[in-house]
Amino acid sequence: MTAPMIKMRNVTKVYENGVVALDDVTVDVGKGELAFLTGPSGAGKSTFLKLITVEEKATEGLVEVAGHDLEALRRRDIPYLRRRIGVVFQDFRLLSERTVLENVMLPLTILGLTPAEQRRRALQVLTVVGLAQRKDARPLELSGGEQQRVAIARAIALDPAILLADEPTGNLDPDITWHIMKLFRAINARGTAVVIATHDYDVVRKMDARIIKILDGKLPPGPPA
Amino acid sequence: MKNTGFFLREAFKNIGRGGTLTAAAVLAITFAALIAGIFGTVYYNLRMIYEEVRQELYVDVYMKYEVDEERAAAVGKHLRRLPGVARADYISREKAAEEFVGLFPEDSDLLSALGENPLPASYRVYLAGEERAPEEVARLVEEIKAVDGVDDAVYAQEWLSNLERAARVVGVAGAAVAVVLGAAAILVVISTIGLAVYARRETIAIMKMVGATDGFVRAPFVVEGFLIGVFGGLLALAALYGGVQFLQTYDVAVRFLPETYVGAGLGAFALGGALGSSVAVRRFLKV
Repeated sequence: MTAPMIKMRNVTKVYENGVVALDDVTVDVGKGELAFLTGPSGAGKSTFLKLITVEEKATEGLVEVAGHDLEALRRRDIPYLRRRIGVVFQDFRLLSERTVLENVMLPLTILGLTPAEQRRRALQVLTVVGLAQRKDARPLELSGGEQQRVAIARAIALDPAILLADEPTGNLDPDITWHIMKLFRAINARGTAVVIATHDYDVVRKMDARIIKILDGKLPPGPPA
Repeated sequence: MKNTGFFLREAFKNIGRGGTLTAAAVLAITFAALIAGIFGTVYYNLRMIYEEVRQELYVDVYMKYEVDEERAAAVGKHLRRLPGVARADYISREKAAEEFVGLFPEDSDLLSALGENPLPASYRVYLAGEERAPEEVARLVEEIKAVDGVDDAVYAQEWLSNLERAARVVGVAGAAVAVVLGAAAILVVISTIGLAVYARRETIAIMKMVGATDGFVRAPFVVEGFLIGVFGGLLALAALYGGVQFLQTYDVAVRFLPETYVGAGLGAFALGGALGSSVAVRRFLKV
């Protein structure tokens, strides 16, 4: 395996209120790998993802993302790391007052592309998720599954090295869940490392992929991944 | 900057969304700027009157009564040689009498009743140079008084120094009031934009999640604060201009502020608005 995209060594995260969210976690996610992060609610899945996006910092241990030691990463460099990480949330987190196209264009605007180029790239990824025809709709005019696809389009607009999804299908029907999962798999097939946090074991079982289990902030002992 | 268009659009959208809140911030700025502008106008006008009076300042130098024409000519020579004196016009006793009659025709019989002309000969001394500090004028007048044959030297000293003092008081008071009101206006901008930022914290969090820098998030708000400052300042200027025009229709010789004052004032309020926004948005950037 080439250098891992995400590398954690003995990572512990203790929140200010004393809650131990992660306890001595060591794990690698390779370039182009697809992995499910499973465990019951409150097991530490979200914290795991937040450490990767530098929303939180590890209390102890080493976290490396795309070769960057996050402890050493300067605050002003965080945005540039985040441009290489796409994130999808359970509640989609779309900007409701903007159109689908504008939502997908946002990371491209931030990157400073010309308006024409932003549009072209945004339409391209909207086509990937099958929503190019809804580009002028507002998010709330769309179904939950469609909104999540817009969020995925936004997450992959910058062609990220890593795509993180936090309970991406938590609000969706089973058929739609399946459709979204296939989308993740297709994105992964293009070389993006994908980590999906979910407590939906049915889905995980059907997707033949690596599973990283978290229980009470720990990875249960087993054969090293 | 490559995203200028985006920032401007966002700023205008924010202003539109802000609605009454933004209007309140603009009005707060307008109010502060208007008060500052009124003080500025009063100060500027006093200053201008003062300058004009100073330009036309002359000293009346009265000869002693016993001084004859010959001595008077010698005094005139002396006066003209003094540094700071531009010109000295001789007014003979006869001419003084004529002027008196000209000025007070109803009292002309007073002079003839006296039989003898009681008016002394004098010189009207005009001062040289643009800059005449009141102390300098006072020193020169003392020097003139010491000239042999001179009885007294009179000029509009009291009026001039009163005018200068008034201008200074208005200037200082105006500056103090402008600082206090300006600070209050900036606080209003901080809290207004603070509310706008708070309402958009989710948007900010999303922007940061997709890789926006702090500067990128801050820019539209800073532009918004800048525009609020400019709008407020312009409204105040319009009101002030209207007021000056109104006074002028009643023949009050009030002058409107010169461009430098207008520019400095607008700049200060625009900068204050931008600064206020920058402060307001800072605490929401820690995502």
